[in-house]
Amino acid sequence: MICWLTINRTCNMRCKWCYARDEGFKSDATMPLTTFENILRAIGTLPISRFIILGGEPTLHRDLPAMIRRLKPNKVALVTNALKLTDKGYLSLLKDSGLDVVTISLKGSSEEEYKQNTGVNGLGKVERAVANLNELGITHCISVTFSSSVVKVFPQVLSWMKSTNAQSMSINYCRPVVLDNDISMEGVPNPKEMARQTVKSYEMVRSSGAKCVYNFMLPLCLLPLEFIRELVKENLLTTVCQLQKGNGLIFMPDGTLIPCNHLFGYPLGKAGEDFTTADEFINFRKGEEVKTFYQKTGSLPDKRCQTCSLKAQCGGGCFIQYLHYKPAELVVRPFHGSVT
Amino acid sequence: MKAKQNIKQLVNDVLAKRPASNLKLSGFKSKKWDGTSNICDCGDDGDCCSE
Ligand code: SF4
Ligand code: SF4
Repeated sequence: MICWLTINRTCNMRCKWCYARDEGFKSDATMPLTTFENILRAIGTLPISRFIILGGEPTLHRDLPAMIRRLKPNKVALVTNALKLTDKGYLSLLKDSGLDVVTISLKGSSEEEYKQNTGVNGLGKVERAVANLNELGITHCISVTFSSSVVKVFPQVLSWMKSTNAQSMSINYCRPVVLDNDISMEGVPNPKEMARQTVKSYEMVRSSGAKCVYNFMLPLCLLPLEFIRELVKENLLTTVCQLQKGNGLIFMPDGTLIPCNHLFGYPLGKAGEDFTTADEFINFRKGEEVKTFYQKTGSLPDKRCQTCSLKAQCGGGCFIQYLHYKPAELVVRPFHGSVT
Repeated sequence: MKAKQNIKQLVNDVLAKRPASNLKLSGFKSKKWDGTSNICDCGDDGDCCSE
């Protein structure tokens, strides 16, 4: 299992697409150490293979180094916008605390675009952060979200990867943004278009020599089978998220357990209230409500999927997209061939 | 509080249209480079504690 700890909701950027926009970036929620300990007590005996710390912007949490130390010897990853990692002393401190992996979400391929998307001149800072990560020998990955604008500047992103010596890149997919009382589709390209661009981008990735993994979160049948075969053969494709597998734990700053970071309006329970000890937590997860929830999010969206040869590898893709699209709008046709 | 109810309702509506399933979704997993885990990437093939 993987455990995501959202240790704050404060951020030093103002991204156009961020789910925190929902709250007008007003949230100053920060996870107190007591809540952090409550969570660890509840999940203590579970086989957690890694902790992923994120925010908001987790580097703004003053107890981040102490939290990392406390999570060892587990593997600890950090998802960050990297602004604070320009400070080599701070990055060293995180490394010495036991940080294993850093994922940087890249928000633009030029300084102008960065400013437009985030309100901050961030690109130069990310470059400095990557240089620091390389210097300190910290494994890192640049996470790029395939939105309408990224697709247009993808060649620039690839040459940026090369010129900054960033280690590897993961491609993620833009999905509807869950707002308080609505679903926003602003800036979210049509899934069919994203799938087309995926195929196109692969050629560019190959010729640039960039190390890139596709976290494909759309229905697989939007892609040609031949292309899926190629990605699988090259070991470049990851599909089916933690929500569909039911093997992720995501905690908010106040200890609330949510099913996916885009569904914080759908709390499942709270550490310290609904479960305190490891036994209580396991019973809570086995309880009818939570069990049924995961059996449903992990089921197939469309009847046609039942006959699909790739159903276990696809599951219809990101659950959030079905809050906006009807299954028939996304699911193209079941596959009958195998990928090997 | 009313606003949050809407998302709950929306999610529940989508869930209501889905059958509960015991299908084991395995997914594809690229293990090529470490550090690619993010919020949407399951990142391991460990089993769910509810099983
Ligand atoms: S449901 Fe969608 S947004 Fe949520 S974890 Fe899965 S892929 Fe990511
Ligand atoms: S038919 Fe369903 S299971 Fe098969 S690839 Fe399409 S969405 Fe996925």
